[in-house]
Amino acid sequence: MRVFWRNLWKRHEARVGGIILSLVLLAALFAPWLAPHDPTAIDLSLKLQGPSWDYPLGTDHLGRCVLSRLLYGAQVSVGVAVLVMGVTMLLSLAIGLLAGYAGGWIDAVLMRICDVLLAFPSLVLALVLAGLLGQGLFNMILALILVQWVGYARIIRGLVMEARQRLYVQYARVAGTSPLRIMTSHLLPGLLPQVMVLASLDLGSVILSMAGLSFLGLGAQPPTAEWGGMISDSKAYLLGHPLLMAAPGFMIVLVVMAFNLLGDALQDSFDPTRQGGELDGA
Amino acid sequence: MEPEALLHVQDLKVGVRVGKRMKFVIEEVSLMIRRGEVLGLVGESGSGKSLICAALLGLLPPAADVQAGQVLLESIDLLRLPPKRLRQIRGAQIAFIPQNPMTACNPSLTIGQHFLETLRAHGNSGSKRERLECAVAILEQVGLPRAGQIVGLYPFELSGGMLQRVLIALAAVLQPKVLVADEPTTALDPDNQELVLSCLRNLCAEHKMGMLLVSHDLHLLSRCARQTAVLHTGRIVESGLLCDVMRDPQHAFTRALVNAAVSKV
Amino acid sequence: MLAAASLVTFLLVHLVPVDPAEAYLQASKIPVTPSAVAAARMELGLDQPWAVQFANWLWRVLHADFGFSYLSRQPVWQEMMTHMPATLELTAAAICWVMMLALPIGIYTALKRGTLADQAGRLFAYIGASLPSYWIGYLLLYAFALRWNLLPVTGSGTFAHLLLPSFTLALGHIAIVSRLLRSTLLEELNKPYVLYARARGLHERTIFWRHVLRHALAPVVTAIGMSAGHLLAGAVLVENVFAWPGLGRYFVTAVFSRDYPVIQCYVLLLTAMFVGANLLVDVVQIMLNPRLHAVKGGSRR
Repeated sequence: MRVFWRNLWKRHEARVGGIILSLVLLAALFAPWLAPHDPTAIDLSLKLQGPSWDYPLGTDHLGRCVLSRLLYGAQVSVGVAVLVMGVTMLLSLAIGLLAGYAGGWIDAVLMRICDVLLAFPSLVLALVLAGLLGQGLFNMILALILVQWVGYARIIRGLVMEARQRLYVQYARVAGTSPLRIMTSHLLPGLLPQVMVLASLDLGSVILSMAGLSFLGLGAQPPTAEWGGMISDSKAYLLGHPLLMAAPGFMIVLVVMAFNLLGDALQDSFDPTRQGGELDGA
Repeated sequence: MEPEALLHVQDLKVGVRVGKRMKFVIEEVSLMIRRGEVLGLVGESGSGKSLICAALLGLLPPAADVQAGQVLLESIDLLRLPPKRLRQIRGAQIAFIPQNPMTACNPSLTIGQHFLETLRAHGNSGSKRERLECAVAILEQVGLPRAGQIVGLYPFELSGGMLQRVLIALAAVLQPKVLVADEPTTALDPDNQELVLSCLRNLCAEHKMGMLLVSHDLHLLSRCARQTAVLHTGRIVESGLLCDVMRDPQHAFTRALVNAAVSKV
Repeated sequence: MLAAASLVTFLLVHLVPVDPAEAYLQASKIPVTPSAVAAARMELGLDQPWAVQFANWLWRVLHADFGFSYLSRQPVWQEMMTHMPATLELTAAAICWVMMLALPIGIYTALKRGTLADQAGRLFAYIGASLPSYWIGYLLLYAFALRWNLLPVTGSGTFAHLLLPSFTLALGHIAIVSRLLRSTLLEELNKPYVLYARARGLHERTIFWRHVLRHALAPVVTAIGMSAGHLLAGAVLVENVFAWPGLGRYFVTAVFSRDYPVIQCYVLLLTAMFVGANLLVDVVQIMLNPRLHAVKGGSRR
C-alpha cells in the first residue's frame, strides 16, 4: 500500500489533481469560517458591485457576495457529486455482484434492463427524470443515480464473472462458504480498486451533469448557492459583468479537471502496463 | 575458387539503453555471406538474433543503437548511409522475411496491394497491370497454385504456410542480393516448415542470392544452410561449415544445441 | 430494442408521482378541481387499464401520432418536425468541427510526441474534457459577439449564426477524439506490420498515411459515431444558451410544463437517433475493415 501511494505521488497528474481537490474540499468544509459574508444575504443596494476589499469577487444581481457563494457552492457541487457517486457505486456493486455471481435468469433479466436503459442518451434521461420528478436538489440526485448505475453494474458484473473463475473463489465454493460470504469477503475486495478508479474517473462528469441540470433550473433551487445555478443567474448580466459568469464556471473546470487528472493517475498506478495518463475513450 | 563476400558484417556492437546506462547486447559479431550461399545463424531466444537482423536492415528499435562495426553490402557500408539511401536499399537489395507472417501483413490490404506498394516504393515505373503480372510470376515461382487468385485475397484468407511463401515471393520480387529470414518457420507446422525451407533453398540457388537464415533449431538449419554461426549471449562462439560444427562442436553451448538437434532425428 | 425503449418511455410518465391528468390541466391553465381531473382522465383515456393504454399509445406511435401538446394544443409530431432541422444542422456542424480539428490535432501530436506541441495538446484535452459547454458558450458569446461584434449574438439562419453554437457543442468532443486518435496512432506505430513495411523499403509517408492512419481511424470512427448521440443530447444545453430554435429548447420547455406527449416523443425520437448513429458506426466499421465483409457472417468486433 505504501508503494502504491508513492507511485501515485510520483505522477504529476496525481499531484496537481490532488492539491487542487484538497484545496477545494478544505474550502467547502471551512466555508462558514472562510466566507466573508452570508451567501444568501440579499442587499439590493449593493447589487452588481465590482471586486473590492469587502467583496473580493464583487456581488451578484441581488447584492450577494460572489466569493461566499463560490465557497458554499463547493459544498453542494462537490459534496452532492460525491454522494451521488457513492450511492450509485453501492447500488451498482450490489446489482453487479448479484448478476455476475448468480448468473442464470437473474443475470439475464438485470442485463436486459441495462441494455434498454443504455439505449437512452444518459443526459436526456436524467433531464426527463429530474423534470418529471419535479425541480429540486433531492429529485436531481435521485435522477442521476437512476441513470448512472446502469453502466457500472455492467462493468462490475463482467469483473465478477471473471473473478468467479479464479481458484480461490472456486475453492471457497467447494468448501461450502455461503454465497453472501463469498461475495463480500472474496469478490468484493478484488473489485474495490477498479471501482475506485471508475468512480474517480467519472466524478468529473457527474459534476458536469449536475451543474448542467442546475443551469437549466432543475437542480438546486434558489437561494441555495450552486455553481451551475450561479452561471444561469449571471447570464442576463453577461455584457456588463462577465466576472459573474467566469468565476463559477472556472471553479467547475478546475474541480472536474482535478478529478480527471486524479482518475487517470489512479488508473495508471493500478495498471502498470498503461503508461502516461491518456484521456482515451469517450 | 570461393565466390567473394556479398554481405560482410564486421565487429558489430549494439547497445540498448536501460535507464541511463548502455547495456551491450551484441558484441563484436562478424558474419560473412557469399553469393548463392545460406548462412545459418543459430542461438537460443534472447541471444540477440533478432537484433542482428534489425541492425542489418537499419531498423533497430529506438532504445537500441549501433555502437561500432560495419555492415558491408558489397562495398557499401549500410550503417553509414543516410536514411533516404538506406530506404532505397531495404527491400530492393536486402530483403526481409518476418517470423510471423500474419502479424507482419497489413490486414486491410490485399496480397496484390502489398506487391504493388513494394514495387512502387522502389521506382518500378510499369503500369499497375505489369506490376501485378510481375507479382503473379514470382508467386508461381515459389510454387503457389492459382497465383492469379491469391493477389486478390486478404492476408487472413490464406493459411500461415501459404502466407509465408507469399512473403518470400514478396521479398524476392525485386531480386535482392541478400535475404534476411528471422525464424521464418517458427509459426508454422512441420509440413509447412519443409515447404518454406525448400522454397527458400531453391530461390537462393536459382537467383544466386545470399541468405541469412536465423533459427534456434540447428536441425532445421542443417537442411538448408551450408555455413553456420552460433550466437550465445550476444557473441559468436563458433562458426564454420555446418557439417563440421555438427560433427565436432567446440563450445559447450554448441554441444548442447547439437545434442538437442540429434535427439530430434 | 426500440420496442423496449418505447415501453420505458411510456412507463416513465406513468410511474412518476404526478398524475398526467393534473399535469394536463396545469399546462392548459385549467383550475385543478376533482371534476376537471375526472374529465381530463376520461379525455386522455387514463381511466382504462395500463395495458390497454400502452397498446393504444404504441399503435398511435407507430403511425407517428404522439397526440397533442398539452401546452400548444398542436400535434406533437408536427412540432417536432419543425424543430428537428435546426438541431440536425447544429449537430452536423459540430461533427464537422470535430473532424476538421480533432483529426489534424491527433495526427500532429502523435507525430510530434513528447514535444511542447504534444504537451499543449494534452493540456487542451484535459481542459476540453472538463468544460461545461454552456459556460464556454457564454464566454465565446461574450468575446466574439458582445465584445468584438464579429458574430451574431443568438438566433439562427445564416452560416455566421451557426459558427459559435456548433463550436461550443463540439469543443469537448474535439478534445476527446484528438487524444484518442493520438493514442491509437502511437499504438499502431508499434505493431509488427509497420516494421515489416519499413523492411520492404516503403516511404515513411506511405506507411503512415496508408497503413497506420487507416487502422487508427477505426476506433476513432466509433468514437465520432458515439459522440453523434451525445452531441444530440448535448444540444439541449447549447440550444438554451444560444436561443437556437431546435428540439432541445422545445424539450426543456416541455419538461418544465410537464408536457408529457412532447417529452415522450422527444425521448423516443432521440433514442431512435442514438441507436441509428450506432448502427451507422457499425456499417462504416465494416467498410473500413475488410475482415468483416470478406468473412461472411463473422462475429462483430
